Amino acid sequence: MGLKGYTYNSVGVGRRNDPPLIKELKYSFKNKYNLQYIVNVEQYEYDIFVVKFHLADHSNSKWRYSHLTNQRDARRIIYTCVDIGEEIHSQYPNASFGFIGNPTKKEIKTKAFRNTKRYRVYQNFAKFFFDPSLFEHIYNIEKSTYILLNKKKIAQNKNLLDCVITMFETHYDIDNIYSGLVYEVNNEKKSN
Amino acid sequence: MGAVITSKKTSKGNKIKSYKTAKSTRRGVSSLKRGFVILTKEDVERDRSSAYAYVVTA
Repeated sequence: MGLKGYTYNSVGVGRRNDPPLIKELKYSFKNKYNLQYIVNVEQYEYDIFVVKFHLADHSNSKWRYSHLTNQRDARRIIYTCVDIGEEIHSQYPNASFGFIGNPTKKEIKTKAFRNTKRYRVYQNFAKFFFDPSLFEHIYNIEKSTYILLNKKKIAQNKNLLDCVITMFETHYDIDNIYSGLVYEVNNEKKSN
Repeated sequence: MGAVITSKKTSKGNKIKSYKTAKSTRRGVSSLKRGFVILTKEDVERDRSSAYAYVVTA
């Protein structure tokens, strides 16, 4: 494959010890347009790593995971995230991964959280790069969520999927995860 | 590639500081558990060929 991910740097650890979050590993890279991206890899219990990225300029925005840059550079940016995932997998051989295809602002406006644009793109990369003999591929199209459970970890814990789902449900209100952004959109409409 | 866990306001305008404080009280099988589908190795292998075209030429 000719195209490769961008060169990235580890920029330390963000939040720590915020159960079930163990720590947040931070990485950064610049793309061909010299825009800086931040990749946050959240490490949870059961060796679960959730990969998120956004433009550094949007770090303080509630919409940081919803913005689209429309620069047609997504593929190489996702390759970079995959490279980071591979590095984590080499450090943590039992690592499992997960991601949410966050809805765009337009999808939030219409409350189209199912099978989002991002989810449709990312799941292709997950299937392509993560060997099904090493990872169990699990998806939830309603929540636009994809989980890659490490088969080594499943061998240690047959109920790993249930444990992981319970962990997230206990700590987060999954059914209303975007309600804060929906509230913002509705407020924007009212003020316009 | 991820969701922001932010604070939100209720319909009465009361602010809930974090979703972490809003623990689920639902009973039975949750909607999240209901919605998960486990792909077989064959499913993934089949989808990988179409994913290849997307990932390499997107």
